[in-house]
Amino acid sequence: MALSITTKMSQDGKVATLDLVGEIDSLTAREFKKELEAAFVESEKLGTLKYLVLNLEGLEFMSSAGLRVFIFANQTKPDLNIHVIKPQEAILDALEKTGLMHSVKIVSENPES
Amino acid sequence: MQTKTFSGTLDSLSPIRQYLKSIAGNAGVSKKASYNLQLAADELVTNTILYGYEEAGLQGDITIFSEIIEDQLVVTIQDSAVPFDPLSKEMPSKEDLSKPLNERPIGGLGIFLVLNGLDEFRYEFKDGFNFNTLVLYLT
Repeated sequence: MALSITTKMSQDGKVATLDLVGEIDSLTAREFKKELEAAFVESEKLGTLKYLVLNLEGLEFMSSAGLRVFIFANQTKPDLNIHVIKPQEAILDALEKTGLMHSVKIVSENPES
Repeated sequence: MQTKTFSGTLDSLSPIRQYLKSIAGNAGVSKKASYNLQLAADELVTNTILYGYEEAGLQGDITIFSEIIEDQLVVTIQDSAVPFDPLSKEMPSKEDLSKPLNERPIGGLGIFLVLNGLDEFRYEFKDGFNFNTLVLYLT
Protein backbone atom coordinates (compact mmCIF):
# COMPACT_ATOMS: atom_id res chain seq x y z
CA MET A 1 0.00 0.00 0.00
CA ALA A 2 1.23 3.43 -0.82
CA LEU A 3 0.82 6.66 1.07
CA SER A 4 -1.72 9.33 0.28
CA ILE A 5 -1.48 12.76 1.84
CA THR A 6 -4.07 15.52 1.95
CA THR A 7 -2.92 18.89 3.23
CA LYS A 8 -5.19 21.61 4.57
CA MET A 9 -3.95 25.05 5.53
CA SER A 10 -5.87 27.48 7.75
CA GLN A 11 -6.46 30.89 6.15
CA ASP A 12 -4.12 32.63 8.58
CA GLY A 13 -1.35 30.10 7.92
CA LYS A 14 -1.25 29.09 11.59
CA VAL A 15 -2.44 25.51 11.28
CA ALA A 16 -1.35 22.95 8.70
CA THR A 17 -3.20 19.65 8.78
CA LEU A 18 -1.86 16.61 6.98
CA ASP A 19 -4.08 13.54 6.66
CA LEU A 20 -1.78 10.56 6.18
CA VAL A 21 -3.39 7.42 4.83
CA GLY A 22 -1.52 4.22 4.04
CA GLU A 23 2.03 3.34 4.99
CA ILE A 24 5.19 5.34 5.64
CA ASP A 25 8.42 3.54 4.84
CA SER A 26 11.69 4.85 3.40
CA LEU A 27 10.15 5.18 -0.04
CA THR A 28 6.96 7.01 0.95
CA ALA A 29 8.63 9.06 3.73
CA ARG A 30 10.13 11.12 0.88
CA GLU A 31 6.60 12.16 -0.17
CA PHE A 32 5.73 12.96 3.45
CA LYS A 33 8.79 15.18 3.77
CA LYS A 34 8.12 16.91 0.44
CA GLU A 35 4.51 17.59 1.37
CA LEU A 36 5.59 18.97 4.73
CA GLU A 37 8.15 21.28 3.13
CA ALA A 38 5.47 22.50 0.72
CA ALA A 39 3.15 23.19 3.67
CA PHE A 40 5.90 25.18 5.40
CA VAL A 41 6.39 27.32 2.28
CA GLU A 42 2.63 27.81 1.88
CA SER A 43 2.17 28.86 5.53
CA GLU A 44 4.95 31.42 5.27
CA LYS A 45 3.01 33.21 2.55
CA LEU A 46 0.01 33.52 4.90
CA GLY A 47 1.53 34.05 8.32
CA THR A 48 3.39 32.03 10.91
CA LEU A 49 2.80 28.32 11.31
CA LYS A 50 2.04 27.46 14.94
CA TYR A 51 0.46 24.02 14.72
CA LEU A 52 1.27 21.04 12.59
CA VAL A 53 -1.58 18.56 12.87
CA LEU A 54 -0.85 15.06 11.63
CA ASN A 55 -3.96 12.94 11.30
CA LEU A 56 -2.74 9.35 11.55
CA GLU A 57 -6.12 7.66 11.82
CA GLY A 58 -5.70 6.06 8.40
CA LEU A 59 -2.00 5.28 8.78
CA GLU A 60 -1.31 1.58 9.07
CA PHE A 61 2.47 1.47 9.19
CA MET A 62 5.31 3.81 10.01
CA SER A 63 9.01 2.97 10.07
CA SER A 64 11.82 5.08 11.51
CA ALA A 65 11.89 6.94 8.17
CA GLY A 66 8.55 8.50 9.19
CA LEU A 67 9.81 9.26 12.68
CA ARG A 68 12.76 11.06 11.13
CA VAL A 69 10.34 13.36 9.25
CA PHE A 70 8.80 14.26 12.63
CA ILE A 71 12.30 15.11 13.87
CA PHE A 72 12.98 17.06 10.68
CA ALA A 73 9.77 19.11 11.23
CA ASN A 74 10.77 19.94 14.76
CA GLN A 75 14.35 20.80 13.90
CA THR A 76 13.24 23.00 10.98
CA LYS A 77 10.69 24.85 13.11
CA PRO A 78 11.60 24.44 16.79
CA ASP A 79 8.61 26.52 18.01
CA LEU A 80 6.09 24.45 16.12
CA ASN A 81 3.49 22.51 18.12
CA ILE A 82 3.11 19.05 16.59
CA HIS A 83 -0.27 17.46 17.26
CA VAL A 84 -0.90 13.84 16.33
CA ILE A 85 -4.47 12.64 15.88
CA LYS A 86 -5.54 9.05 16.55
CA PRO A 87 -2.40 7.03 15.89
CA GLN A 88 -2.93 3.28 15.77
CA GLU A 89 -1.60 1.33 18.74
CA ALA A 90 1.60 0.08 17.07
CA ILE A 91 2.47 3.57 15.84
CA LEU A 92 1.73 5.06 19.26
CA ASP A 93 4.01 2.39 20.72
CA ALA A 94 6.86 3.44 18.40
CA LEU A 95 6.33 7.11 19.33
CA GLU A 96 6.49 6.17 23.01
CA LYS A 97 9.47 3.82 22.79
CA THR A 98 11.55 6.29 20.82
CA GLY A 99 10.68 9.15 23.16
CA LEU A 100 9.04 11.22 20.43
CA MET A 101 6.03 11.50 22.70
CA HIS A 102 7.92 14.14 24.66
CA SER A 103 7.83 16.42 21.66
CA VAL A 104 4.39 15.78 20.18
CA LYS A 105 0.92 15.98 21.64
CA ILE A 106 -1.58 13.20 21.04
CA VAL A 107 -5.03 14.68 20.52
CA SER A 108 -8.37 13.20 19.56
CA GLU A 109 -9.61 16.11 17.47
CA ASN A 110 -8.05 18.69 15.18
CA PRO A 111 -7.87 22.00 17.11
CA GLU A 112 -8.93 23.68 13.85
CA SER A 113 -12.16 21.74 13.43
CA MET B 1 10.78 -23.84 4.90
CA GLN B 2 9.31 -21.11 2.72
CA THR B 3 11.47 -18.92 0.52
CA LYS B 4 10.76 -15.81 -1.51
CA THR B 5 13.08 -13.44 -3.34
CA PHE B 6 12.58 -9.71 -3.90
CA SER B 7 14.70 -7.22 -5.79
CA GLY B 8 16.95 -5.10 -3.61
CA THR B 9 15.14 -1.81 -4.24
CA LEU B 10 12.88 0.37 -2.07
CA ASP B 11 9.89 -0.69 -4.22
CA SER B 12 10.18 -4.07 -2.53
CA LEU B 13 9.55 -2.76 0.98
CA SER B 14 5.77 -2.87 0.77
CA PRO B 15 5.61 -6.35 -0.88
CA ILE B 16 8.07 -7.65 1.75
CA ARG B 17 5.85 -6.37 4.56
CA GLN B 18 2.79 -7.94 2.92
CA TYR B 19 4.64 -11.24 2.59
CA LEU B 20 5.72 -11.23 6.23
CA LYS B 21 2.22 -10.30 7.32
CA SER B 22 0.92 -13.47 5.68
CA ILE B 23 3.78 -15.57 7.14
CA ALA B 24 3.03 -14.19 10.62
CA GLY B 25 -0.70 -14.73 10.10
CA ASN B 26 -0.14 -18.37 9.14
CA ALA B 27 2.07 -18.84 12.20
CA GLY B 28 -0.73 -17.46 14.38
CA VAL B 29 1.22 -14.62 15.96
CA SER B 30 -0.58 -11.64 17.47
CA LYS B 31 -1.31 -8.52 15.43
CA LYS B 32 1.26 -6.62 17.48
CA ALA B 33 4.01 -9.23 16.98
CA SER B 34 3.20 -9.34 13.26
CA TYR B 35 3.56 -5.56 13.05
CA ASN B 36 6.86 -5.71 14.94
CA LEU B 37 8.18 -8.37 12.57
CA GLN B 38 7.22 -6.28 9.54
CA LEU B 39 8.75 -3.18 11.12
CA ALA B 40 12.01 -4.95 12.02
CA ALA B 41 12.34 -6.44 8.52
CA ASP B 42 11.50 -3.09 6.92
CA GLU B 43 14.22 -1.32 8.91
CA LEU B 44 16.85 -3.99 8.15
CA VAL B 45 15.99 -4.26 4.45
CA THR B 46 15.96 -0.47 4.09
CA ASN B 47 19.51 -0.32 5.48
CA THR B 48 20.63 -3.08 3.15
CA ILE B 49 19.10 -1.40 0.09
CA LEU B 50 20.22 2.17 0.82
CA TYR B 51 23.70 1.51 2.20
CA GLY B 52 24.61 -2.05 1.30
CA TYR B 53 23.47 -1.90 -2.32
CA GLU B 54 22.73 1.65 -3.60
CA GLU B 55 25.45 3.61 -1.84
CA ALA B 56 28.02 0.93 -2.75
CA GLY B 57 26.90 0.96 -6.39
CA LEU B 58 25.75 -2.64 -6.15
CA GLN B 59 22.61 -4.43 -7.24
CA GLY B 60 21.21 -7.56 -5.71
CA ASP B 61 18.30 -9.41 -4.20
CA ILE B 62 16.71 -9.82 -0.83
CA THR B 63 15.75 -13.42 -0.08
CA ILE B 64 13.51 -14.28 2.83
CA PHE B 65 13.47 -17.73 4.41
CA SER B 66 10.91 -18.55 7.03
CA GLU B 67 10.12 -21.59 9.11
CA ILE B 68 8.62 -22.60 12.39
CA ILE B 69 11.19 -24.36 14.57
CA GLU B 70 9.60 -25.77 17.71
CA ASP B 71 7.83 -22.77 19.25
CA GLN B 72 9.59 -20.11 17.25
CA LEU B 73 8.90 -18.32 13.99
CA VAL B 74 12.35 -17.89 12.44
CA VAL B 75 12.70 -15.46 9.54
CA THR B 76 16.08 -15.08 7.87
CA ILE B 77 16.81 -12.28 5.45
CA GLN B 78 19.69 -12.91 3.06
CA ASP B 79 21.42 -10.34 0.87
CA SER B 80 24.66 -10.03 -1.08
CA ALA B 81 25.26 -6.39 -0.16
CA VAL B 82 28.30 -4.94 1.60
CA PRO B 83 28.84 -6.83 4.90
CA PHE B 84 27.05 -4.96 7.64
CA ASP B 85 26.30 -6.03 11.17
CA PRO B 86 23.31 -3.98 12.38
CA LEU B 87 24.42 -4.68 15.96
CA SER B 88 27.71 -2.88 15.34
CA LYS B 89 25.91 0.43 15.03
CA GLU B 90 25.60 2.40 18.21
CA MET B 91 22.10 2.38 19.64
CA PRO B 92 20.58 5.60 20.90
CA SER B 93 21.00 5.75 24.66
CA LYS B 94 18.11 6.27 27.07
CA GLU B 95 19.38 9.79 27.41
CA ASP B 96 19.23 10.33 23.62
CA LEU B 97 15.66 9.02 23.51
CA SER B 98 14.52 11.42 26.21
CA LYS B 99 16.02 14.45 24.49
CA PRO B 100 13.66 16.92 22.84
CA LEU B 101 13.44 16.41 19.08
CA ASN B 102 15.43 19.49 18.20
CA GLU B 103 18.49 18.25 20.11
CA ARG B 104 18.51 14.72 18.76
CA PRO B 105 20.88 12.85 16.54
CA ILE B 106 18.77 11.72 13.60
CA GLY B 107 20.08 8.14 13.19
CA GLY B 108 19.92 4.95 15.20
CA LEU B 109 16.15 4.79 15.62
CA GLY B 110 15.80 2.00 13.06
CA ILE B 111 17.95 -0.59 14.81
CA PHE B 112 16.32 0.38 18.10
CA LEU B 113 12.92 -0.51 16.63
CA VAL B 114 14.32 -3.79 15.23
CA LEU B 115 15.56 -5.02 18.59
CA ASN B 116 12.61 -3.64 20.51
CA GLY B 117 10.06 -5.72 18.62
CA LEU B 118 11.74 -9.13 18.39
CA ASP B 119 12.35 -11.94 20.84
CA GLU B 120 15.76 -12.69 19.30
CA PHE B 121 17.93 -11.16 16.61
CA ARG B 122 21.10 -12.62 15.08
CA TYR B 123 23.47 -11.46 12.38
CA GLU B 124 25.96 -13.54 10.43
CA PHE B 125 28.14 -12.93 7.36
CA LYS B 126 28.81 -16.20 5.56
CA ASP B 127 29.92 -17.21 2.05
CA GLY B 128 29.58 -13.65 0.76
CA PHE B 129 26.08 -13.09 2.16
CA ASN B 130 24.61 -11.15 5.07
CA PHE B 131 22.09 -13.15 7.10
CA ASN B 132 19.80 -11.28 9.47
CA THR B 133 17.71 -13.67 11.55
CA LEU B 134 14.54 -12.48 13.27
CA VAL B 135 12.86 -14.67 15.85
CA LEU B 136 9.41 -14.45 17.41
CA TYR B 137 8.38 -16.82 20.19
CA LEU B 138 5.02 -18.37 19.48
CA THR B 139 4.06 -19.15 23.05
